[in-house]
Amino acid sequence: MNETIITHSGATLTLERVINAPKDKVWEAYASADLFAKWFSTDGWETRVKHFDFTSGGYTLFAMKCVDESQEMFGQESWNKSEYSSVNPKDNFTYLDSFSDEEGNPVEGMPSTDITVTLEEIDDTTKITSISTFGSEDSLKQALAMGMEEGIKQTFNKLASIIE
Amino acid sequence: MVEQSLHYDSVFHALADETRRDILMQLNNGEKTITEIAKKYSMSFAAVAKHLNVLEAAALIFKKKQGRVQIISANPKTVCEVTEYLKQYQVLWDKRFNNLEEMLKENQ
Repeated sequence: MNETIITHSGATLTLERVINAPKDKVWEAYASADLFAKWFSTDGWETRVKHFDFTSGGYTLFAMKCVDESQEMFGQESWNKSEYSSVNPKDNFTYLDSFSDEEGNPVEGMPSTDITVTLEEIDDTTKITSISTFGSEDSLKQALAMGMEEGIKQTFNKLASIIE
Repeated sequence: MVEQSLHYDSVFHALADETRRDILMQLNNGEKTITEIAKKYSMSFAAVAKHLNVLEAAALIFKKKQGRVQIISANPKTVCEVTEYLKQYQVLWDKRFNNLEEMLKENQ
């Protein structure tokens, strides 16, 4: 397994990862609702796709639900909407990522993020670069906290104890 | 609560600058004097001192006086908190990308 590299500067967060698979396959994993739901789920959290239109001007609406009874977050559901401003098959896509309700209405007070994902083929492997631009450093912090809430309750508590 | 969250803002502000991140890296290997730290950079001593003030305000470093010399050391507590914060996010995405890779392996 290759390493996932995360760097941040001001209100920008960059994720980089080389996947040992050709670019066509990696793109398919983003472009197919079933495949996406499969790899996006981690540690007792299941991804359920309600609407999936991975094209320029389209949007995807999905929920992440905690299905692990041993976790404190069991039963909790978090809805997420991705609105694609541009999708250039196999090369890159740009979308607005926001927390929403089940109908896709944005949740007030939660940060939206502009994300550009780029795929580059390098010798039968694919480098994924995901650059998230937040409205401010504050929204970057808030989003990081939410990312943790998805599965890592313990750290979320720790974060809360730092901020409060 | 206000004071604590201000402190947290200052931590991220302090870490947003490459020179300040680099200074923290230098301090990973143990405490240093300001002169030792400044040697590495082409900027003025005063500019380095200013960066150190930002790091101190964010509780990322300690300053102590030994005679006329100021000794700078990293504050492992704050550094650990911030590292942990980003690490959990990194762990989450690492799992997702590992899933992706495994899934594509099976598909082939």
